Amino acid sequence: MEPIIRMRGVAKSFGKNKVLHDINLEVAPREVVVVIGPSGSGKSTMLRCINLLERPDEGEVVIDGHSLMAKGTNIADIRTEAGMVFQRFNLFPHMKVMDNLTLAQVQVRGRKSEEAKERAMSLLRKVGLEDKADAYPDSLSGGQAQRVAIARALAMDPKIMLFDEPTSALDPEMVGEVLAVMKELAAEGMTMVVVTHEMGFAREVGDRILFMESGTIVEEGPPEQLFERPRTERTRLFLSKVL
Amino acid sequence: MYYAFRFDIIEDYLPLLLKGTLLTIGISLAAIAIGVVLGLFIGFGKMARFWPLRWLMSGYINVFRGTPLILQVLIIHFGVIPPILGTTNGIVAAILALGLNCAAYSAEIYRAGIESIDAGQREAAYSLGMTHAQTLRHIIVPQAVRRMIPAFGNEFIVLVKDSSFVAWIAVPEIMYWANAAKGQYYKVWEPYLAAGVIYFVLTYTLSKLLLWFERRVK
Repeated sequence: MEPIIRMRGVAKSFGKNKVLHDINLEVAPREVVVVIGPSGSGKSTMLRCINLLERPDEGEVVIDGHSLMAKGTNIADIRTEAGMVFQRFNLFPHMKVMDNLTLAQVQVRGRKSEEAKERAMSLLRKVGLEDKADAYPDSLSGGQAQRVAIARALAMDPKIMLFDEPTSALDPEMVGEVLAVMKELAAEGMTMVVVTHEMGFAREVGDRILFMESGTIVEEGPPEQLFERPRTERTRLFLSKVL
Repeated sequence: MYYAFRFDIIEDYLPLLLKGTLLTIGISLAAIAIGVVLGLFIGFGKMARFWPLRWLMSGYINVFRGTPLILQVLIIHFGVIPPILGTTNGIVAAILALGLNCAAYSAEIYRAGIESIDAGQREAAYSLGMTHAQTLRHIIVPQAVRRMIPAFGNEFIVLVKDSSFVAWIAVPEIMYWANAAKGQYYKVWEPYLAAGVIYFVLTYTLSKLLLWFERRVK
């Protein structure tokens, strides 16, 4: 099948610090790719290159057949198809939960207010927070805020979902509720790229695991293989520290 | 020590002080209007990608913040206005000087307010497919404005007080009439205390008004 995400030779530096070297990645529709690796290995930067929150210095990113680097590509249109969930939620604090979910539906997708509200309500129901529609983000727990953030991204009906360490800022007892929503999403066939330190989730939900270190993809493979029989010493060393 | 407080001096000058008060209010409001609008352009200009614009706006802010207001008032009154109007005009010079000065400080308030919004807010909006303009309008500006209100309140209060400098160019506002009374009666306390009370009432009312507005917005 034609990959929905394709990165070719992507490189990125911040000043003199080269954080990504020649990244090549293809993600098939409905695939769940989990990216693991030590802090500072370039995982998040790679993820942020997929929706151009970071602009690669070299290489090409193609989403659903559209090259992001080509001139004339409307970046905003492509971002609409790639929902993103952030480590620190980034809900809009001056708006109620409902407005967080409807704003971009109306502004970007051009939906009618009623239609957007209906879509928002059904997603809040899905993440178990329909009673929070009129709450402000400040009043939510971390786990609730992250579930709202997931619902907000889903409200755009994106083709892919990008997760940037979605549970890293949560208290331990709230990690489960967020992972449960993500599992459900994966089971429904959403294409997902997930950067995480949750090895249990990676093993259970991931179709493919990427291990990154020092800005390169060191090893990739199905979870059984990567976790049970890592091929490189660097992967083994990393796994011995986190498992 | 006994001091015979001459209420009659204040009484004598009260109509003039009140006229002066209206002028102080008028000049201040006009200067605030200029400052807030011009400051918006200067502030955004300073955040522009186009570096010559950024450089120019930084220069403007540095000049107006880095030199004394009284100097700006005098230069504008004696140097800038006459070639334009063909004559001096104290009130126009006062409004212009205070307005241009206020614009420099307002620009920094806008910039600081916008830049204080967490980068994650912009990223979240972009990731939903929102354009730069939509992000500014719906996400950044509404949050930034709330943070700017106290700083603007501060700036407006400073401006009302600093408008007293324009007595130097014979604009008949509060300070001008206080000086006149002092000159006529050779008394210091009565006219200056009266002026002080008026300024205090103005700034205190303004601060209460701004507090009310701040609460309403939140």
